[in-house]
Amino acid sequence: MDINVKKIGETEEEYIEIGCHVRDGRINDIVRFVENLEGNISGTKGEKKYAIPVTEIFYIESVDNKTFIYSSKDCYETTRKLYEFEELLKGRSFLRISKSVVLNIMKVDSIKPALNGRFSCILRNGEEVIISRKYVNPFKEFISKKV
Amino acid sequence: MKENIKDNLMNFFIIVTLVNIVIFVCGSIFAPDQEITYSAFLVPIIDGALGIIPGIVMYSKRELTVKQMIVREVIQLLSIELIILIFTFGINGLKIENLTLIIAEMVSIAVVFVLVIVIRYFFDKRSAKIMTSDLKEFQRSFSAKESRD
Repeated sequence: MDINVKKIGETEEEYIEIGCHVRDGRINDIVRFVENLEGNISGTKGEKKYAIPVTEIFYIESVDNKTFIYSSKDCYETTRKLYEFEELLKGRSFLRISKSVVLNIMKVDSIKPALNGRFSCILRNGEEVIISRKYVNPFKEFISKKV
Repeated sequence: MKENIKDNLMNFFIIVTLVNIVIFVCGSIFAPDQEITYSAFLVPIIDGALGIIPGIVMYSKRELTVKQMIVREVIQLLSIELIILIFTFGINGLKIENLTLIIAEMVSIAVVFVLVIVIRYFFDKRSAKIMTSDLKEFQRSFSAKESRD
């Protein structure tokens, strides 16, 4: 595959164009990668596909081998695995808080104790997600480090 | 596993302290003239060690739901009651004649068990307060960094 990078004028809008014979998984990977760089993650709701801005994501959850992205009010399904998101969103405000949840720390309003050494995060939309015991210390370290 | 060891150690020390208090309170009320020997100092430590056995045995790596956790706590309480009653009275000592003492011991165990949970809750509440304050600070500095970039 040839890669052409062309410089354009300051007044023009930057773009990426892909020339391909078939839009296969390889091309979709490139599209997803670029979307992520732009700060969007793709997800589906019903039959429709959406580009969800990373800053609008509250948390990402894995349930029965399916991965769901939650925003303030909406829930989108994605084909990616939770560990991929954990890797992809490293260095941003996202952190794994249990076996099945990656949380956007910026969407947490407060923290309260839950049963048995676990903690519950109250999100800005009123939802609650649990930090399991194993992830409590990494969570404490993450939020107490200097940005 | 590390968290479980830490939890059980903390529970052990809380139980030892509470059993000391229970011995003092019950002793002062029901047997104020009773003289005790040095070996009595071992009772809270042994009770503490026996009290954490069910927690160690029932440790699960799985994330339990609230319902499962409540069931586990109830099973743990019943196991602790049984272990400590057998330790105190022996299997042959669990008779009708000792019923009042057995009931008093069972109530004391249940009170200590609940108090351990309550004390742990207050520790966690304090941690949660510190975490919330760290979180707010993190969010402020992260937002500032985002707007700088």
